[in-house]
Amino acid sequence: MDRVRLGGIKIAEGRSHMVIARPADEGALADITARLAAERINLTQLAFMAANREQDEAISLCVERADGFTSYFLIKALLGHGDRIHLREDANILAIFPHDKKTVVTGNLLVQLAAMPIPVYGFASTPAAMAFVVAAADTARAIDGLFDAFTFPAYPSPFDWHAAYQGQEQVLKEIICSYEEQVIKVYNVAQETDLDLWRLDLPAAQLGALGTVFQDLDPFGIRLPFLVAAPLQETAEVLRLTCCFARSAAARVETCLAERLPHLQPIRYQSVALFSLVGPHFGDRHGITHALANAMRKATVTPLAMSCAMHSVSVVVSETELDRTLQVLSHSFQIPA
Amino acid sequence: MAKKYVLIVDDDPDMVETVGMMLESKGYEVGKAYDGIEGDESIKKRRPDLVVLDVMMPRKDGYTLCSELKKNTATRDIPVILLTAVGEAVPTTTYSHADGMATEADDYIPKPVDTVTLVHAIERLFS
Repeated sequence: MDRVRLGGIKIAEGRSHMVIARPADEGALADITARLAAERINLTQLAFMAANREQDEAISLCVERADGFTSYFLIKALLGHGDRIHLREDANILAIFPHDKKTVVTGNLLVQLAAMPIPVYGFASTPAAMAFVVAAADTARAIDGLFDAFTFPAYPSPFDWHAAYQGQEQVLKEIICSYEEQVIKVYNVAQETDLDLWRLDLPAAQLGALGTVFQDLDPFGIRLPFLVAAPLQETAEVLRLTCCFARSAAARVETCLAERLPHLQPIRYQSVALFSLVGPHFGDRHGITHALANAMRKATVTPLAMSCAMHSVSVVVSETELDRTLQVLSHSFQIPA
Repeated sequence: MAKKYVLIVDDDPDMVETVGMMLESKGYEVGKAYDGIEGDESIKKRRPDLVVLDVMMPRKDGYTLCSELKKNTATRDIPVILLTAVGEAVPTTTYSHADGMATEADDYIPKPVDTVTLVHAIERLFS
């Protein structure tokens, strides 16, 4: 595997992680995010994948560890019979950047994590970064592994990286608390159309093979603008993974998947659009995802998938619903002209 | 006419990406760095026409880099815009507004940044 040059690694330590699976319920995401926002609980990562006729809705989310039990019981109280929730108390979020939408970046990441092997409890992409959740006990090993798959010119070794990041967390928390705009300010809304959404249930043992698929796609210039994943069980033995590729890349993606993962049956949704709201610490602050999910519910737009991490929230919707969605969001967010 | 080259130095990759896209759409050439030392090295390799500089970054913060640029006769005339989330709202921070002013930055924009304001500030410094 050729190492790919990247800008850096970020870590959010001391998180609790939850996996929620439930039958189709178009209000669930808005209800869960509303409950957490009401308690001023920061949602530090979210991966959401809507249900379809055969598959339950899947949600992977992280909160600060101190809020873990509270969040678990708040969410559990909202769930119905047959819904499943699992709490992992001690998790960390790692993020690598910038991915520049290059499939080889995510490909190398998946291949490396699979080779070690390190279980992953969620992926959530942002316009610039790929964030993923690992158990706290696996974090040091995961960081070591990142230096085998990537080069970071600013940090020759994991030690150098760690030394640079010590002591940043507390000030960062205070800065996040200082953002209290009446109307949430958005730096920019990036959008992309002419996409297909691909969904597959991937046994963890095949994570490396999927990484190889992404590596295979790179020489064709195929870009990966969005990816989320969440485990279907508490053991992370099967990941539900959703990603977007350009519609024009569909045949190549299908061929590469069939070559490397012949037993998987990916579902492809055609004609979807992706938009990302980028703003100050959107992946850390309470209420941001709720404002978005609530606005979409009011507009009766169902997100097909959503990610929230770092400084952005990204949403995949049907292409026909993009304009209406963006119009509705302008009532809840201060979006630059 | 050659495009103006703007270097964005911020440890928030989404912010770098967003501001970079906006500036490219306005016809600027954009360089990216993710902390103060990388920003410093980037400036040594290629002199930017303007630097957009975050304050709180690992390894070398924006105040330090800005002060160094302004003290160096070779770089003191490069316009610097400081972006900061710090000030009265963050009581325990070591990054005060007064320290920011002491760096002799050419402009000082508080976060959350209004990106339209940022673009106007860049255009004003170039005019």
